[in-house]
Amino acid sequence: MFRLNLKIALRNLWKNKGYSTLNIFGLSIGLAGFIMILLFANHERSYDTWNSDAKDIYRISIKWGPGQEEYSSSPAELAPALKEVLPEIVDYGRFYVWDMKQRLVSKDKNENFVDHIMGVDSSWFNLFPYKFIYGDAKTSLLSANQIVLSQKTSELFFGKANPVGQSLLINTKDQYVVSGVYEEPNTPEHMEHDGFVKKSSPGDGWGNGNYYTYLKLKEGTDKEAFVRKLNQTFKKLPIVKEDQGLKEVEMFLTSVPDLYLHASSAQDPTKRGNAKIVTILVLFSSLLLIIACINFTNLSIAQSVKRAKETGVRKVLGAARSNLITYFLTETGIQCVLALLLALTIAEVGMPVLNQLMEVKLSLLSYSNPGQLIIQLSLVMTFVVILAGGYAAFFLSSYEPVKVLKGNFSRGTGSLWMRKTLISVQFIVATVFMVALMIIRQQVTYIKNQDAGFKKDHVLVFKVRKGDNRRNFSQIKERLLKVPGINAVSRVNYYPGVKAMQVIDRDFNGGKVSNLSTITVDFDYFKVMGMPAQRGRVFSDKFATDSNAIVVNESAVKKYGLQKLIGSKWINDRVIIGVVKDHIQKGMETAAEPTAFVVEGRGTNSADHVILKMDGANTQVTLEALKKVWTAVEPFPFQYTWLDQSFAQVYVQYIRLDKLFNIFTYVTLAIAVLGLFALASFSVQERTKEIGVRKVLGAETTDILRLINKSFLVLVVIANLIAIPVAYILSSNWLSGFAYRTSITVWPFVFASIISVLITVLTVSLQTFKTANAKPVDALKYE
Amino acid sequence: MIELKNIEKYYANKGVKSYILRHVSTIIKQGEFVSIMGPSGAGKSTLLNILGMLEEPTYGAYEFMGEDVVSLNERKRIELYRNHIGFVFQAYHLIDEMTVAENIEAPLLYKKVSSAERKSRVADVLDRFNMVAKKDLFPNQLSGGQQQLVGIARALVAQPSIILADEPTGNLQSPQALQIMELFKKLNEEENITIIQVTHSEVNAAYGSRILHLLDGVIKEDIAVPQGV
Repeated sequence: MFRLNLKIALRNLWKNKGYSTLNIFGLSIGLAGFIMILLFANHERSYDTWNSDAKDIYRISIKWGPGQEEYSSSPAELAPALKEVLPEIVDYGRFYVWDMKQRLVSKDKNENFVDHIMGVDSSWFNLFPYKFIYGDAKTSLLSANQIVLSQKTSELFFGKANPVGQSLLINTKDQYVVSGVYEEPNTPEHMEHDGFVKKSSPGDGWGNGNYYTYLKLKEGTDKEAFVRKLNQTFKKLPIVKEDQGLKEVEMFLTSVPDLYLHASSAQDPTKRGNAKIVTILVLFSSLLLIIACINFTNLSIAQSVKRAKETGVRKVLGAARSNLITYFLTETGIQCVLALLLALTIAEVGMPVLNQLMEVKLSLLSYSNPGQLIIQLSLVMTFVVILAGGYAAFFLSSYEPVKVLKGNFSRGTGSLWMRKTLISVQFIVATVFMVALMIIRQQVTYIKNQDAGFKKDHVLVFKVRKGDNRRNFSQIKERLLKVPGINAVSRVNYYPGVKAMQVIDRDFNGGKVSNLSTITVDFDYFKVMGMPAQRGRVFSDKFATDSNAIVVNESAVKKYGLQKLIGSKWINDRVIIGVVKDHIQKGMETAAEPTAFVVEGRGTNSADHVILKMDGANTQVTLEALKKVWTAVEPFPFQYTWLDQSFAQVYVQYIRLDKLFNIFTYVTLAIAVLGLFALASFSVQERTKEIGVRKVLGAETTDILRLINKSFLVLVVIANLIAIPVAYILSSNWLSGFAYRTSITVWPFVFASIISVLITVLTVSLQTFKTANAKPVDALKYE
Repeated sequence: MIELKNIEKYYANKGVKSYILRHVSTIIKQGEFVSIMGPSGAGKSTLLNILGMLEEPTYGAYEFMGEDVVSLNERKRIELYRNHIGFVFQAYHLIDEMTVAENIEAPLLYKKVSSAERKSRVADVLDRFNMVAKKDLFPNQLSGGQQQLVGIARALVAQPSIILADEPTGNLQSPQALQIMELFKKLNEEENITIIQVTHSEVNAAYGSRILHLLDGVIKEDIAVPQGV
């Protein structure tokens, strides 16, 4: 039976080549979009999944007091103290914030900058059990001069050979011996690493959260209960009873697999994904798929008249309804499989576009977890077959043979209503997509044109690698300023776009100044950045006292009530000499934070980046000259970034979203038009006789066009009425996540409605015109 | 074999009943060849549909092989289709996407006959109807008469005890129509298959053994056909 079903189904598909192609093509586009997004979502959710222990490993984050931000770093002393009193903690591992710097690694003449060598506990590999190709994880980090390399880094210096026992020179002075090489795991991780060394400090005291602490708990430990116990136990520690600063500490745990998408702490060095965007993408690609299924259903039902006779005959030959449902589902199944094959091809071809947009490297053919993908795709295909074929099968198998076989069969109004509803749903989704696209675009434009509070063009940033060069910077600055085309030179640690920040709490006049972001700069910083003083003045090397002064931004003035204090002493005995406008530091989601600027000196962090402004003419020549000067100062390869490019990273994900939505919207519209086209063509066929009669009665072609269009326009108008509030709620919800956001105007809604109406009229008229324009006699002969 | 008691069929439209069949009572025995005749709108097709369980009477009792079928559930009815009833239609109603052989095979599939037996029974029937050469053709490649032959072959292959035919020759020219009628007569006489046909033609009716004349939903005449005409 199955073989015959298959054969008949194929013959049917072949007979209706045109519609079969439309059917399969429409479905495959929806599927392709879905598969591509699925790959991306899988990738985003696969972070740290290589490590089967990861769900029992948690990172501690800390709020130092009520109302404070949650920080991801903690003191080194915390983990050992906790392990002593909490039996649930099996092991812990920490890495040291000051070890996270870029290093110049050399093997004889082979010199390379290596970005991510982490300084960790020797127990690190108990928590993160990388597969060692060479060496032994247990003994690899026992002494301070051992280094473990990733396979990639090892190959950079040693090729494929076993490097264990060989030595490497780091930052031109420290000798390290390679003690192991590990294979990079096949899933992405929340921390980037090219190698590991033993952390360079045993601890900086309870007051300094300079470590990132990971606890490995006993398998199956309940997180919520453990967090409660953790905080209670912590309060009873002797050190906490002595130290007032620790009294109000509250600790939180984030499991390692959650760090990438769900970590909520500030100042996090981990890679951060955006769970919201992943959800939005999965949601919208599912919508796309559902639309494609709806389209499929619509086209199938539209053809049902042709199948009605067959159904009736089969019934009187003794077919039960279940036989027929199986048969129709087989037919749908074949089409779905063909669509899947086509979709996989489209997805594989389209993947580079997505890769480029989302900055990932995904491919169907070399996918890291094919098993998962196959299971997911089988589930999706089952769902698609049922969704796309289910209604048609149910609908077709319900024909009463007596009605069909008498030959005067006409479709019941029930199916027409169903199809009209389905078309409306398609247009609801299409309109929502259009509105969403326009609002996303508006927001992206808004972000791009948002006054960042500084001038970012022709500003170059590069790192100062030697401390001496920072201390003697004024001479170097003279030399840099002599380069033609360089207008101003300064230094800074956290330039805009850098997510890290020094945040301090100080006592002042008996009150507390908390959560003050502090940026260390050099003189002329505000000249380089084009940030004039709003009140007072900015740092100048003409005033010797400025190295002990402070400049604040407007938010700081507002938060700490500094209006009257300008010109007088504030925290750390620093005089507030001026106020600058707020600038955007971390991104569009966070409003400007209260920020203070200080000149590098004793007790400040180091301003370890040179930042300079060029005049923009002959950039290439200036750059060459600059390179010559700087490599004379520091004999390392010269690496730099342009501020406008690095700052663009803070909103690059929204530009991507915009581009993705572009694709989504066009594909959805295309599928909706396909569905409309088919429904219009069938509706015209069905009404051929009516059209003929009307023409004989004196109707003109335009009257007929108006008549047919009217029934479709009603659907589109209803669809728009439903879509507009939905789109409004969705987009205002999305926009509320931004501190800097555009306002929603009426225009996206108006445009989307006009476009959907125009598309409908065009499609339906195109389909109707031939019939409407034909001689009525042909139409009347038709029966 | 068939017993109708007081069958009524009407449609109620705004409280007005329009009758299709009234007080139809009759008994049809195994091996009879009955022709239902009457003018258009007399209720012939409705009566045949009721006999074929494609429609339900509004009122009355219908026993098929001693079983009350008015209240029969779908599963039982499908069983009857599979084992006892063969349909032949005026418009042939072959499945366009199936070849001649596949069309004939279809009822056996639903009856869950084994593959080997299906093959042999289809081959038998094809042979008997002289259609072996045409077995791989599609219906639209055949003439009307040939299509109707396939239709009858399909009705016969499941070895039904009764064939219900709704104007089987209505779309055919007379030489072909005669051929079909001869076939019906032969089936009736040689294999003792009960045949009930609806027809307009006196000539066709004469092949049968009994004629039911319907007028406005009522059986006006029930006459035996003198044999040997």
